[in-house]
Amino acid sequence: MSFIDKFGKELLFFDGAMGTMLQKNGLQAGELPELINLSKPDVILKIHKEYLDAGCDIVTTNTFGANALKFENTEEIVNSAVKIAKKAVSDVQRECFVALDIGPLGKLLKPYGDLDFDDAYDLFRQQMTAGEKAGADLILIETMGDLYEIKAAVLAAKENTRLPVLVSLIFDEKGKLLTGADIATAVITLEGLGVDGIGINCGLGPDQMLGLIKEMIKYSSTPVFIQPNAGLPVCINGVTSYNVKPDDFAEKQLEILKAGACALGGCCGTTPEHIKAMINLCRDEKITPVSQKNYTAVSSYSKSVIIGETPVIIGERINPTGKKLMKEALRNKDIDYIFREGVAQTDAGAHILDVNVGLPEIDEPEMMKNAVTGLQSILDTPLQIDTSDTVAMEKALRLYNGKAMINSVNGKEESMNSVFPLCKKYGGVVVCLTLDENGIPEDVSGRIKIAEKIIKRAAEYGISKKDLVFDPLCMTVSTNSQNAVITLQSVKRLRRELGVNTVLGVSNVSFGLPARENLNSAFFALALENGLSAGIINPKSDMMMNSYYSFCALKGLDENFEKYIENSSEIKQEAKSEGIADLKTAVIKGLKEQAREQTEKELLTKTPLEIIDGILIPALDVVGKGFEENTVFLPGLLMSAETAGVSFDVLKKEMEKNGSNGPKKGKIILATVKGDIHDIGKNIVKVLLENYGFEVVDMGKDVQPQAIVDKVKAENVKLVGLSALMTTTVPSMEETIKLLKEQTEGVCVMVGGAVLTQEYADMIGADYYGKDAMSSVRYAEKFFK
Amino acid sequence: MRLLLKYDTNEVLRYLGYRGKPADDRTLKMIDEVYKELCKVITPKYIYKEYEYEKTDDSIIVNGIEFKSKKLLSHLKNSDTVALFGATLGTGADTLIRKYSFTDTPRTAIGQATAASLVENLCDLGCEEIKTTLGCELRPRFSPGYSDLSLSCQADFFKLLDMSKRLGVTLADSYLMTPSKSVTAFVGIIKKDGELNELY
Repeated sequence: MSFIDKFGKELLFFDGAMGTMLQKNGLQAGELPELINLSKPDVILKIHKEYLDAGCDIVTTNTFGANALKFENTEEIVNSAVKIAKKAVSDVQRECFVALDIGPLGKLLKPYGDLDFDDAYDLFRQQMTAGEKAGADLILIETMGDLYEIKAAVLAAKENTRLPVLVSLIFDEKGKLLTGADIATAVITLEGLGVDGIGINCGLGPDQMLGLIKEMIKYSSTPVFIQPNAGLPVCINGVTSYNVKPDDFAEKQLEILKAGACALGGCCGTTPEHIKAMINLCRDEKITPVSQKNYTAVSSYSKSVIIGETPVIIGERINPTGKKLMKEALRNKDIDYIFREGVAQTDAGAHILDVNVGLPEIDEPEMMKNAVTGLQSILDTPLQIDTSDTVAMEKALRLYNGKAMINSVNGKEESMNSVFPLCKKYGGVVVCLTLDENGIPEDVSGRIKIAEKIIKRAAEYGISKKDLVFDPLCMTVSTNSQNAVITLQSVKRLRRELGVNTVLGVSNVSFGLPARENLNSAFFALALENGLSAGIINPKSDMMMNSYYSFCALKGLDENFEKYIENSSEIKQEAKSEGIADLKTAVIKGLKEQAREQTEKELLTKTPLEIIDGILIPALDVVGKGFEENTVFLPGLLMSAETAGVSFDVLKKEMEKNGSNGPKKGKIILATVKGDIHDIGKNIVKVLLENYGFEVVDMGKDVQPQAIVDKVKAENVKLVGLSALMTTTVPSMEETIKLLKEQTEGVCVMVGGAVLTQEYADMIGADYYGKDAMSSVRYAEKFFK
Repeated sequence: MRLLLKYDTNEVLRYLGYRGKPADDRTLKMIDEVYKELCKVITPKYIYKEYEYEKTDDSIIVNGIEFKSKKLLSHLKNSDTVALFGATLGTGADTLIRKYSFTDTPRTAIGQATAASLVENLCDLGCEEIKTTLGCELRPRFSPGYSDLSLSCQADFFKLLDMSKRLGVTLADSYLMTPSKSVTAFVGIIKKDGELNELY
């Protein structure tokens, strides 16, 4: 029988700690455990044998950190480790398995850390292909605290080997991963990736794990396994020890088994005695069969949203259709605009954000990738990947951190054949449109029939009904007065008869009619009452959200009317008025709303240029001087700059009406140098420069020197601002300056950052050292004069 | 471990460049709002490990690993043992501040300063716990990158304290820590008995 025939069907036992046993066998501090596979294979063999003698079914190879970040000879180490484990297993009479052990890489992936997703994937692939070749029976990815790293590892396993994949996570006592995800989110994400088993190991003892494993079983339709430490670590004089004795360990493991775990083992501090005691006590127990859980859920890296209990809001605003500013932002690759739209919708109450960046003239896959990874670096709201371009869809799904919502598939064979494989591979909840080769059926039954066909075809791809959400399509009532009724009845029947969740792009209903929000919000309430699980709407519309909160309050879905009260428009309006100020005062004081109003007022009598030169620039000067004289401080400076920005935006729109782009004082490239992954300081400088009228090309963080040089040439830019935060990255700054001086002419470089000083800046050949954000504005002003 | 962290207004203002000057009410209010937002997303944690250490002329040796720094050596004056201490606010603070940087620049700066003050407070709480648990006195914290202690010793520090596994803090090639609101430090431990002997 193969491993996968047994796992989850009968009780299996893992071994215990390797590290603890290596220390007992004389491993010195600072000695790398993985090298012992080569230097003293007999020691490893002996440890495996002790665990096998204790009765375990699965031995785990000594390859926890055997990756190319640490070792040049990864393959050799892995090969040797697997061969040793196989030898140990071949010497016992019963059927036992060798698990290829894969630990975390010890580096954080981008966007938080400096390791590329693809590089992480390659590191895992190398270990795994070597392990399969050497004869491992399964892959055990363990002690994982970051869902994104796990995704890289699971994809590497599934795309390059045929081995079963188990993933085991390290939680803290509150049941959180190090990156913040809770147990439900972890389970949802891992099941999306199609792993064969989900477990908990390390970090905690069996006492603390009992509650966590119960929570895991509540959400998991996948077999669950456990490998606790022998208690919590106790550290005396730099030596860590674990104090739970074998018999106590066994008692607890029995309890965990009865709670529903299907395989047991041990982590740090456990020994063959622990494993033996555990097996002796648990051997004759039966496991609880794994039950299928039928909830529909999507997740981000730290948060999950369950669809179907309380209705869910999907924000529709990141979509160029009918939105001039979004189109312009996409053409200009102004990703910040998308970020702001994402934050605004989340703040307005969206649970999921639809992301559609499709414009014929742009590189959609590239933009989709940047939008999805970028949004995930600032928001934990799950995303809905909305595209008809399957290349863009796959690119986004591959790099998405979590289990995404996918928009959409329909009843056409071509659509199902291209979308379902992606959904199966990367996980996801798919929006299914009830249309097919013959178009959208006019009647309800026709739409239900297509839904049934989609469910059947999805099942053939191994996709369960719970991962499908049906959109029976909402056509405008302006062309057929029955359209809304047909849609509402379809929603009801989909929910009642097929037992599936539903979704609608609500605002289509009013297309072509005036005062659309009136119809939209009424239709939304009706749809919710008919069983709509998720509405794709504009969460920034008070009317739509009022409908939503009122519905939830009236249906008893909002305990103590908490959400309803919190979001009632009366209360929201309070915080506005702060007395009337003229535009100059508004900018100096940083009053954005007033600046907007006053700019519009000034435009009645002045041209945009007169307002800029006569009011905005003098106001910014007052603030800038104040900052230099220590009467205005950084928060005030930034508030004024942002307020001026609001005013500039109004003026820009006015000037565009007249066909001009408005004056720009000059173009500047900003970048945080290679190796530097924190860019907050640079972002502050960027906002200031922009609001003082400069055009900024922001190259982001961790930027290669040559990339900066290439950009300078391509954009024909004469002023470059570089930021470095650490002494260790100043050399990249120096290198960038050197390349710029070599390969371009007349380019000036201004530098800034926490560790820099005037002397340092001179030493590395910078033209200007900016001691704070304002001084870079002053230098730029002088430079472009 | 459920920790309620507090910020120190003067410290936050100092990070923001106020140099002792007072802040207006709007800024103070904004600091407090940002603090409340931070409290929702941070996952403060600290760990430490106590070690015996050896001294040389210009370094200390912990568990066979040498940390070269005369300043650290004199900083640990009279310490019987040394604790390696690590603390972090978790990834939530970074994400929130990054979010601000696209939507609200004043809060970006305030978030940086407030989070920095919170991580200081976290270190203070951690050190208080060391004092109570071990019944000892502590020397002030001394971090890799301070003075003549090279930043590159972070790599060894991370290994000794198992920072990535136990705290979720990882080290980039440039020795930057992620999450960025994290601290590593050596803390000298003076045992009570030793201190008494010295006093008398």
